[in-house]
Amino acid sequence: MAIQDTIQDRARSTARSETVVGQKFARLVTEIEEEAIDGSVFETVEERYRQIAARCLDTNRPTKSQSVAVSSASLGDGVSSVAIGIATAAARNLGSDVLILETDMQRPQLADDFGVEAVLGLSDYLSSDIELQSIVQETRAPKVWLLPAGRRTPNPGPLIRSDKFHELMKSLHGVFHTIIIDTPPLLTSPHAAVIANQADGLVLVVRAGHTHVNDAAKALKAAGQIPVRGVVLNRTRVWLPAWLSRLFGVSRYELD
Amino acid sequence: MGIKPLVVAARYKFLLIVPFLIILPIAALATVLSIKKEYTSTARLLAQDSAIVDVIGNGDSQYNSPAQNRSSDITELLATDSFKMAVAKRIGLPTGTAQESANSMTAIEKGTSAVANGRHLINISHTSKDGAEARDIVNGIVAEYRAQYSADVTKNVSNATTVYQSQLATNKTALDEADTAIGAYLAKRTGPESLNNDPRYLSLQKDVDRTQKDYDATQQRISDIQLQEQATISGQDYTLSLKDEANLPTTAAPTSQKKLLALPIAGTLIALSLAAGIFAFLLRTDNSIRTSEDLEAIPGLVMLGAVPDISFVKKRRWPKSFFRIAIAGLGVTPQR
Repeated sequence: MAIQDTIQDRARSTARSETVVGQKFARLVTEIEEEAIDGSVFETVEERYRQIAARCLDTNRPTKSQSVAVSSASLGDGVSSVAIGIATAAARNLGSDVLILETDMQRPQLADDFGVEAVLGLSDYLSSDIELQSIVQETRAPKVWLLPAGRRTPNPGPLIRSDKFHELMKSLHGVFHTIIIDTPPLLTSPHAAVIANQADGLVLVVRAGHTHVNDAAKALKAAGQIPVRGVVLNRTRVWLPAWLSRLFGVSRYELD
Repeated sequence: MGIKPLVVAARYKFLLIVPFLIILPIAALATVLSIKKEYTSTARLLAQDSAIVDVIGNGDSQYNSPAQNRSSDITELLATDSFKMAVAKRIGLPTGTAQESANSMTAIEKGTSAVANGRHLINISHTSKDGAEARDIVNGIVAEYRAQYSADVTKNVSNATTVYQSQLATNKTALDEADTAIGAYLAKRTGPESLNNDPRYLSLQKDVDRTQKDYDATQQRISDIQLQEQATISGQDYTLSLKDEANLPTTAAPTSQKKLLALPIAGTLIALSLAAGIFAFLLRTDNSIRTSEDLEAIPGLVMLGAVPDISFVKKRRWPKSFFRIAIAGLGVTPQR
């Protein structure tokens, strides 16, 4: 398959991070590396994503591809962040290629955030006859690939409901071991449930202190019959001051 | 509700409370800094023992010094409307309407003190934001008190004179009787022994001396009264004289420590009360999910994990949390 060849070719490239990662992303990495910050928080975040990935993905089927839709009740809950976190952790946990599929064609953002040179993406693929390998982008994270949303599309409904999207999902399942679908919010996008239905399961992102219980319940109802793998409580705040945490020898974070 | 949910809730609602915690104490501090400076003006009166006042009483205590008695007088008079109105009229404070009179009387009484300084000196002070007003009020009080004191003295001179004349007559009778007694005894007395060894004679002589002394003292009192009367009439009453007139104060008195402390403390307490009230209201009305326990309200949900909010990690000028989480996920974990 052409896309598999592409993936293998790119993975062999030693200079991939220099060529694939865009200027914006590289600059952010440099800035954060230069600042003396609390590295333990990042370690905590990484550890959390490893746990989340292990809980929401089926690790008992190493050969069969699986997909998980990540969605939330409303905008701004951090779906994309969680999708990236799960994808990078899954790539490490499973050691296989993981694809992040951005499906919010009304608000495409991941290509910019990753700094990948993505002129084309999902919307372009579904609306024209371009090759799949031309829209799958490698990221700086090992074994993490990105299929960006592509050009902004005001009405992505017909594209989402097209057979081509269904076919695309089949093709991707044939190439990637794990697909993390960055899905629009369930309560604000009428297409979110349709997209999520293409996945094997749903992860609901809840933003701590922001998402209401009622909205989370409504989002689950909107998801319909999709198996819900669980909830990620995103952006929880440290509840214990650092000095108290050290004094009592307890963790500062939720669910430790 | 345990302490942890409260602390967790505070983490999420803290930014809403902060303005109250900051703005009100700042406002209180600004109020303190804007407190107008106050000026104190002081006059000093010299009080002496007064024969007239002693005899008419006038509420004085024989155990108090003249300064204590006169300062008590002034303090009591300052509690009376008639005295304050007289002072107000004397210094030209507005008294046209009931409200103006009340304001003027309050201005006179508030911030005024009359304190004995030693046995004879009385300090009369007034503290006001207007130095000229403080000076005028003090001088007004002093002038009015001295006028009333002089009027009292003048009014009571005849009473005092009558009292002492009567006492003098009594003393005179006693002296005459003592003289008569000793004369009669000497006429009847026989025997060669010395008078110095005669106990009867010595006793009678002692009576004569005592009654003479009383008579002289009473006569002296009457002279004093006449002298004080003359001095009072001529405006030179030596029993109450002005030592230092109140002057225009040039330096502001230090602002009261109580005022400096009370306003910021009050501001902080109000701020804390408001913040606590708002916090309680938010807590009661907010049903957002903050902890895994909150998710128990939705049955059948599995908690996969909680991801800390990295936007609260020290360096606030970072890009949005999305990038940090993404970078953290990519394994770029900065080291200290």
